[in-house]
Parts: sequence; C-alpha cells; structure tokens
Amino acid sequence: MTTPVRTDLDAYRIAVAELPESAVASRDTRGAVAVVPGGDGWWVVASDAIAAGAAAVVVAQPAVAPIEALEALASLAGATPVVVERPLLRADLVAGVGASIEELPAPGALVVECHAPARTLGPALRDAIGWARVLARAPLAPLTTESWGGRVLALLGSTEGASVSIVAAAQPGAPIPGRMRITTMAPTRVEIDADLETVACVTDAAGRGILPALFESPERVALRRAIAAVRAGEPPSDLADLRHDTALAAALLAAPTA
Amino acid sequence: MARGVGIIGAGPGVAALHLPTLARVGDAFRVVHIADGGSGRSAALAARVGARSSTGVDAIMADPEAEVVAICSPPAQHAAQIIAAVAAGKRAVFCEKPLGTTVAEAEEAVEACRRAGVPLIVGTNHYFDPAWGRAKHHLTVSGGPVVSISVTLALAPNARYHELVTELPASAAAGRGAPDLTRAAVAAGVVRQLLTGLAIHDMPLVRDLVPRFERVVFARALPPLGYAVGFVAGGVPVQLTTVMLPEGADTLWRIAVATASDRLDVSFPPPFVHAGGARVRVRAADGRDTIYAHDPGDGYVAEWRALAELLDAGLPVEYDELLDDARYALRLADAAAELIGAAA
Repeated sequence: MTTPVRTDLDAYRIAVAELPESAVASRDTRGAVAVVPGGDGWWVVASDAIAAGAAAVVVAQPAVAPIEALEALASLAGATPVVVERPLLRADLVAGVGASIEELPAPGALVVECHAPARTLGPALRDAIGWARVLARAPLAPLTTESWGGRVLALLGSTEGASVSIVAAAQPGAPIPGRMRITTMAPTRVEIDADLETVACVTDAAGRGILPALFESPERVALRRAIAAVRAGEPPSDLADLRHDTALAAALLAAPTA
Repeated sequence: MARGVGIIGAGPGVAALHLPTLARVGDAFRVVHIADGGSGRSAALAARVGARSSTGVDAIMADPEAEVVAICSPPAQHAAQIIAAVAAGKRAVFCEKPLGTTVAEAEEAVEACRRAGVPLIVGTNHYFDPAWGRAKHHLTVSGGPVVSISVTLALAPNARYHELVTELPASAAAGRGAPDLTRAAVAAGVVRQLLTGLAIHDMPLVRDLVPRFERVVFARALPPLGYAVGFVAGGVPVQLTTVMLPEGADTLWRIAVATASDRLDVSFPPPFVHAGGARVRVRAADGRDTIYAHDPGDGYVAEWRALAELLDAGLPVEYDELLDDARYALRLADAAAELIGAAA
C-alpha cells in the first residue's frame, strides 16, 4: 500500500523514490502527506495544508516560529500527524540514543554548548535545548538566564530535578546549521556532538561506544515517520516538542542582562 | 645536585601525587622531610623515600636540608605556612592551590615571598601543561576573539587513579558522606570550597583568555557534590560545570574555547596519573578537524621543572600574575557563594 506525498522539494521527491512500496508522488494535498518547506511563515503553509485535508504534514527544517503560531497550528492539527524534520535533532538518532539510555537513571546535570552564525543561532539553540530535553528525559524550564549581544548564559531545571547549564553564542565561523555539544554528567556519560554530522557517544566504566553513523537521508526518515503515523493513527509528539524547545530558546535569547 | 624538599602534608595528595611526581624529577629534587598535621601518616610515607618525618611545621622549618618547602596542607593553612617558610629562610616554596582562602591571605603570602626574593610556584598543573601553551598559541594566531568558554569536569573517584600511581592504605582512601545541599548555607560553602579547590585548576587558563571578571549569572550546588556556575568576564560567557561521581566513566576534564571561527577543546588527563599532556583538538571554520600531536610531558612534572628553572636560572617570578590568579578565583568563589546564599 502506498501513501500519496505532496511535495515540491527535490530532497523529498528523492525520498519518495526511495520509498517505492510506501509512498507515491501526488499533486493533491487532500489525503496526502504534505511536505512544507521550513522557511519563514511555514506555519501558515502547514495550516493551509491541514485545512485542505492533508493526512499528515512534514515540516522540512523549520525556521523559528512564533509560539502563538505553533499553538494555533497544534490546535488546528488535532489528530493530524505533524512530523518535524530538524537537521540537528534527527528523530532516528534521538530514538537510537533513547534506546541506549532507557535502562539508566536520568542524569542530574547536563552541559550544553551551542554556537551558530547570528542568523541561525535561534534554531540551533532550539535544537540544542531539544537534545537536553531528550537526555534529561523531562521538560525543562528556565531558572536563571541572561542574554547580551548574541551571547547567552542560562541555567535550566528539569521537572525531574536535573540542572542544565547552557552557554550559547553567535559564532560567524560555525557551520550554518550550528554546532552544539550536549554532555550528561552521570556515571554513564552521553555526549552528542553535532554540526555538519552528529556523533553520539556513550561512555561508562567499561569504555566508550559510538552510536552507528546514520546513512538514511533525513527526508526519508521524516517521510517514513509521517506515513507510519498516518497508518497507525497516532500523531507523534514533534509539534509539542518543537513548541517546548522554541519557547525556551526564545526566552533565553530575549532574556535581559541583570 | 638535587635540592632537598620538605613536604608539609601527608594525605593522599602527597602519597599519590607529589611523591610519584618528585620521583620523576629526581635529578632536581629529593624528598628529605615529610610533616603531617597530627594524623601520624608522615612516618610511613617518609620511610618509603628515606626521609625524616615530623608532626607540625616547626621541625621541617628548622630542617636545613629542606631547602624547598612543598605546602600540601589544607587550604586554610597555606598562606601562613608560606610566610613561615620565608621567615625560616627557605630557598623556594611550592604551594598547592589555592594560595590562600581570602584575597588578604594571598596578598600577604605573595608579598612575603616578593620582599624576600623567594621563588614561589602554585600547583596549577593545567597551566603548566605543555598542551596549554600550544592551545594558547593557536588562539593567539588564529580563530579571532573568544566568544565563549566551557569548563566541564565529570570526576571519577580519585581512588581509581591513586591505585595507578601508588599503594595507599585502605583507610586513606575512605570517602566522606555527601553534604546536605538543600541547606543554602551548606550549598554555598560547598560551592566556594569546590571553586577554590577544583575550578582553580583552570582559573589561570580562563583568566589568560578573559582577564576582566564581571559578574556571576548563576551558581548552584549539584548533587552528589559539584557545581554549575555561569559568569561573565570581558563580555564573554563562561560556564563551569563539575560533578564528582561515585562510579562510572573515566574523568572528563575539558576546557572548550569557542572563538569567532573555531572550537578548541583542551581535554586533560585524569588527576594523579602521568599520561602526558592534555589533548588539543580544533574544529575550524573551514571544516578542518585538527588534533595536535600529543606531548608526553604533563603539568605535574612541568610545575616542578618550572620551580627548578626559577632556582637554577634565577628567572624573575611573576608574583603579580600569581596574585591576580588568586584574586580572580577568590572573587568568583565569593560571588558564587553569595548568590547561592542570597537565593535562600
């Protein structure tokens, strides 16, 4: 059985071609997985797709959205799956890391370092916070935060009691999507080091393991997840996660100095 | 001829760090006297190296063979013992960090050395690590201005590394119970103590890059024992995160410096061991990922070699730098403790 996919993005056309038993290109939005480019205003296009009867929406590499827009989109989407393709927070790597740490207690502290050119610091910080949320295995909230001249110092707390220390700064020479490292301070240490590629390491007393490299394109991963969500009738938490991470990143970047 | 060293202190730091390190610089120094503060541990340690032992500082100060004094006692005693060593006519002083527990103490101790012309070295081994010189050179010639600094320390139990460099009696390795960090006064005291005892390893390096301390943004004690501190220096955000862990992965001890174009990681080896210098890795703006050659020399040996050079070559001692390092670290520690106390 194939699921129709409506997209104008070349990378997603290729992804459709790489899912010949699951996906088929379609010119209609109704009943299809609609792929929305993540440029400014993507939330309007996504809302239009849902209103037009899309079975699911994939948002490709979304720009930072206003919180109110994300809330309105979530309200409109209801049970319609919305899958978000985030270049520095790949869902398949999140799943792999999650499987590696599911038996371990949540860490008590995490360290986040995030750098990106000024114009992409917002989405980079959003995705770095996303990794912190994944590794802390709980929602986060700001405790103390200051921002000045494209630089951020912040301490977050998780609902489970973990502390998350964050430094972020505009760095002209960083890769455009950003460069980030998230480290758990625990007997079993998890470290995510991401820029143009992402390396996830798990270290304990027995040694250091590096999670397998990912060779599937992020677009194919996003389409697979959207198709699976449509078939299962279970929307993923992508939009809620994006809203959580976006709100925190916005709060950090907007926090005044003392 | 090797100069005689008298060591004040007989704890695990002496047994696992200074005695094995001094064995590596036997051409320049020999241990002649070890004094404890009343524990009685000095006798056994001294017997291992054919040295004399005593309790208290009087005998070591009066020992003419102890030309150099190594101060490895609790931090609150450091400044007074430096001053006593100068008064006793010792030729040089090696002092474990911190120089003193207050700025006034540190100033008094350094001024005593300066007036008498006594060489003084503070055991900030990371500053002496040959890798730091390489990293500093990279930062000076490329990369542009510093935009952030992160110091991350996930410390495995010290006993794991003690076992690699010495043999300690089981009682010497016994740990202490975790403090009650929910009490603000306790948390503030713990963070101040850890900043002056652990973070101080890296404060001279941080000060090298961002010398103008401004303010602490956040400070929090982390269980079971550690801290998360964020501060601003010269407009640059600096985060310090340390947790002393009861088990698990080997120590991670890393200074990450982000410049306008690069990320430079200096990853130090665990404490106590002699595994060469730190590893230096640079991710550059053009995509290059550079790992510098590993230097077999380490900061522990280098700091004693530096003291030998001061004595042999009569090089000028950078008293003002030592003092400014102490002021920087103590100001940070006081501000962080105050913030934790104020939040209660």
